[in-house]
Amino acid sequence: MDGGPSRRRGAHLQATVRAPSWPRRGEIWSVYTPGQPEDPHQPRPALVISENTRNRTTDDLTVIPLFSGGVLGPTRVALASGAGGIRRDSVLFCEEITTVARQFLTRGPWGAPVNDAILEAILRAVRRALGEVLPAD
Amino acid sequence: MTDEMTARAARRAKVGATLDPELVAAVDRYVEGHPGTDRSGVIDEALRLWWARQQAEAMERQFAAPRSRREIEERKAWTAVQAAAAGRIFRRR
Repeated sequence: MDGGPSRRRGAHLQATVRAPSWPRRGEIWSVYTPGQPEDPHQPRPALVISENTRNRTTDDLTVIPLFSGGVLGPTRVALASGAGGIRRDSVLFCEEITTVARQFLTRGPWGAPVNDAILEAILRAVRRALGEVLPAD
Repeated sequence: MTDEMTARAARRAKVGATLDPELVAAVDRYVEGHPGTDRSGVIDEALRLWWARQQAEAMERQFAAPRSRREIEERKAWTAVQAAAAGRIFRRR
């Protein structure tokens, strides 16, 4: 999964090379669909949002998909280049929050976890996506 | 009331505002007829409703905005991931 067109298309994201480990909350990892290596747009980056005990001990975790662009709004969080290890400004689509199996994670982390302010903004965006009315961050 | 709401209530802001006197009179009549309420509570509720509409309109703009070709491609990839993830979750239940 690490070579070929998908790697080139995701070249704005730079993975750190580190021994495989369990994903921590706030880290960015590459996510793909096992068994579909022909998809040129995979793997896709995502930010791990689930709590660390779960991330360490269970076989699945919850992630927020990261897009290379997109309109900002109540359920979106802008992520500036450098945060989490990304090389270009990107957008977290918090309305697309997803639980995936650990085996769907193929590479990561891209860098250090994002800071607490970003995590807080993500949680508020998820809450808006679930119908809660919350003032802008 | 959530912890967050309690915390917000504890650090309430005092503001001065110039309001429509008819609306102020309506608020006062309501407060008189509803023990336990006050002007601040009614104005809080009005502002919450106002913000709910702002958020809903912003949500409309967000979801109605045209998608770039790249976003469409990335979305397709995510849809495949999500379908596989959902299939795995529901198969094991």
